[in-house]
Amino acid sequence: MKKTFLIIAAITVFIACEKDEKKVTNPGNGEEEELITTVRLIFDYDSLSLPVDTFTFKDIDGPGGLGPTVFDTIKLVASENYTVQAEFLNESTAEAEDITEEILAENTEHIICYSSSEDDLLITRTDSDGNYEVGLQSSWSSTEVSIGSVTVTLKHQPNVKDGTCAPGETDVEVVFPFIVQ
Amino acid sequence: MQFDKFILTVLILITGLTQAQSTCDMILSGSVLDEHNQEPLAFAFIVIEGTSNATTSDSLGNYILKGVCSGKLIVHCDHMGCERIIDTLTITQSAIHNFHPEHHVNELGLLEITTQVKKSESKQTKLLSEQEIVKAQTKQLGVALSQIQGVQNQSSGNNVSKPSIHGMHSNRVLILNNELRQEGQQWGTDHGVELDFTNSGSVQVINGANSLAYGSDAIGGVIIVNPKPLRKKHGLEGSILLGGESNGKKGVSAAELNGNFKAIPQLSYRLQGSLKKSGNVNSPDYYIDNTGLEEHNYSWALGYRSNNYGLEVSYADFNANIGVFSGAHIGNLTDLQAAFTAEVPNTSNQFSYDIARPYQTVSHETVKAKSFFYFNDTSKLEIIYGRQFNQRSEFDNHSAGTVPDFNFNLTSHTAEVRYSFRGKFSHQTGIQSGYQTNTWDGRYFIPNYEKYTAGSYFIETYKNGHHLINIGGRYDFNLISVYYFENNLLLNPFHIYSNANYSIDYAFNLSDSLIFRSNFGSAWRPPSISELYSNGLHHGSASLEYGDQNLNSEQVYNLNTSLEKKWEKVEISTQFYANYFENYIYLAPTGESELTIRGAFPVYHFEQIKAWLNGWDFEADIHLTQSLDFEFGTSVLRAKNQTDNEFLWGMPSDEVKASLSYSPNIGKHFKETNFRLNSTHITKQKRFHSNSDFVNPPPAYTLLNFEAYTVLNIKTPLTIYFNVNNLLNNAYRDYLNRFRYFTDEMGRNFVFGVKFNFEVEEKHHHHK
Repeated sequence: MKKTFLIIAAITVFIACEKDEKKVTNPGNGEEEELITTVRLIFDYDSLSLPVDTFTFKDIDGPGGLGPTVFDTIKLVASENYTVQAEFLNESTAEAEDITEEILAENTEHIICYSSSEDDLLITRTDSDGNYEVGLQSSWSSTEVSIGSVTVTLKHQPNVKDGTCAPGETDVEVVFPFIVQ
Repeated sequence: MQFDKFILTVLILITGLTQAQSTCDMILSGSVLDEHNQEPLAFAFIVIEGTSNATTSDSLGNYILKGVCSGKLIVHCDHMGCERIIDTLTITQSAIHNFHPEHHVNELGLLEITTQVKKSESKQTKLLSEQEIVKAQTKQLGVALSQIQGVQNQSSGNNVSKPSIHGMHSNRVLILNNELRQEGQQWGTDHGVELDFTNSGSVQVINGANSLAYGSDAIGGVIIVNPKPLRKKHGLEGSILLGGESNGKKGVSAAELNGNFKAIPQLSYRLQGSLKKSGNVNSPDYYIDNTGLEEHNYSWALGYRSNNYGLEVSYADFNANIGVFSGAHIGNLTDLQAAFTAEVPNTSNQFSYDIARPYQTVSHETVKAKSFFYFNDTSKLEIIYGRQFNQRSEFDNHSAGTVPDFNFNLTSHTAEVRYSFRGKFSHQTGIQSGYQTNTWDGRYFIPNYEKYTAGSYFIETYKNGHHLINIGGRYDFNLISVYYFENNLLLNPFHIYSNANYSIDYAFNLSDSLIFRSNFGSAWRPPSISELYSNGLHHGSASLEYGDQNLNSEQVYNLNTSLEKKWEKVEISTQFYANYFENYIYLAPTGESELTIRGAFPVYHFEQIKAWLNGWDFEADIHLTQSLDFEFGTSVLRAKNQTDNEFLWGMPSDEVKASLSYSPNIGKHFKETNFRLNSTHITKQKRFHSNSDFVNPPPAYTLLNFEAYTVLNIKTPLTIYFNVNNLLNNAYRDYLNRFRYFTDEMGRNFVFGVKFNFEVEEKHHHHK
């Protein structure tokens, strides 16, 4: 018993001393890996032969601190179909990180939802993870001249994805104003 | 005497229970003599159990207890450096009874001295009984302490819990674990207390002048958790505990071994360890997903003591892996709103032991070295050094794998020297110093910092007849040096806080029947690092929280007055308290919101206000028959933001507790048998700041619990207990649980346990 006790005591003292601490005077510089700073929607005209339009929301220092630096209004033409690509970026770091690739790689855990305030702007997801839609690609059809807003939501749904927007945790929720001219 | 009679009469009239007074005019007297050499022992402390009738022996070892009631008495005799003697006497007339403690000067904590003074004279101490500690072995500290009137459980789900005293918790309550200030990440309610409750030999809550020995910041009080003292006699003793809970299919096992080396009788040791595991708990209607818990803890201590000095080294390691309810991890306000409105959380509804993201892993390691020196029987010097590592990793839903989203490492060193003298005038004095560093990586929450602390205190106690006066003062100095980057620039601001505080207690103790106690004092605490430097999104609470680097210390003045009265069949105790905060640090809603990529979030700022926290606790115990007791208790707190003339939010609402306890004598093989049916009614909190919270406080609820306890008195005693919590399987939410937004509380829970105590005595020669 005595021996066992002394051995345990000796070992723990040894282990205890091994725990190393980081240097307090050298803090992290707030480079957050999973931060999403930027949502980009790239619109490709289906019938008109015009260059793509890109609309962006960008809050470079993440939630809190300074407000968004870029917050575009989506400008569309009436009676046109668009193929839309959604992109998510972390631009807080020196080298911008493309979160879109991660979403694609984990597409069974993610869904992007589009909800328009106006019925005459129709949005449907066109890609799939095999079972459910993902929403990195979508089709937008405008009809009449109108104004309103579109809520773009990126949901993280590990193990609970069911094709709807309800479950999971919201990573992005941006309400883009839109105008159809 | 006139005044005493007046109080008596008033109290009898108030309760309307006029009881026949028993004959309490007997005298118990005798001598306290060393078992070995029959030398008289001065300053032995003699108390009649369950009463406040106590005295100390004089220089000739003689003692006299007046006002002793007839009947069966249990008398304790404590002498510094001796095992406590507990004798049962039947008193029909004045009697003589001698005590023969086995005297060798040895370890006895300062704490025990101070609590003895208090227990007998002023009852500032609220203790958990041994039975209550055993019955709570599968529970968290906050839950265990919530049995004490005026203490509530402040929680974030079922696995993260801390005690709240009179509406004050976290930074406002000091937890002293094995004589060291528990230094964890106590900012905020989403971190629990990192200690192993199965290792507690005693748990008590104190306030008043005696709390000055531990820090300036015991605003709500000090919670003292101590392991059992090391064994002083030859031989080996220990216990094995096995406990379980049906809800969450929780299992707890713990073992402890206390021994004394035969070859080196000065050397004692203790080994202790525990394992806990539980899976998803269930509310009456669904499983609460990902609420499992794993804990493995162990500790050891080694003590050497000679006649007048000693040394003790101890080590404790706490490790927990804590599942966080997956439905409580929300990304933005929309998610939060959806969680409020959902009848049933939108999460998996099944039992599992698996702990998935989000979860937290916490380890807390403590090393303590203590030496003490007795100058004589009444004075001693102690030197304590402690080091604590606290490591917390949080894993949220976002990433996968085993890399935490953020990490904190808190390292604390404390050193302390204290001197105490016990007599008619008792003194305690000490100096304390500390050095603490915090580092983090992952997502920013609070910055790196270094903290230097120094403090010094004195407490004087004067005892004369029925009166006790306790006066204490303390001065502290804090320097916090902070390191963080702003716009790629390393900043290193520092903050200095220093202040004095004081306390004065007066207690009047009329032998057995009446104790009046009043305390006035001040306390203060420096702002915590999160109150100074929070900057951004608080994940999980869907709010943007901003600290303020210009916050001042929080200063509080408090007045506590209590009265205890005992008749033959009725005991009552009541306490009034008033706390006035000059600059209460408060997370105040600004009413504004800020746009982020996750939508708009409400903005909160740490502010300082003038505040009042006033309240009243009341307890009554009615001995209906020899074996049947009815107990009743109520707690009322009013918390007001005086600056804005609004209520403070997040404060406990009024509560009423009642219990019926039956302690039958079921034969000589069982002792301490007790069956108890208790109910707790928590009212709806109607007093809150209306813009501060996302949803209104939950409705009132009533819970019914059943408890059974007995000690099977065979060769080695076996303690058996069985409880049913939430007997009626009520679905309810508690205002003090931060997860009230997301889920109901646990449903019915069967709790059971056995504790096997053993002792192997190595006989040695006695001479009388």
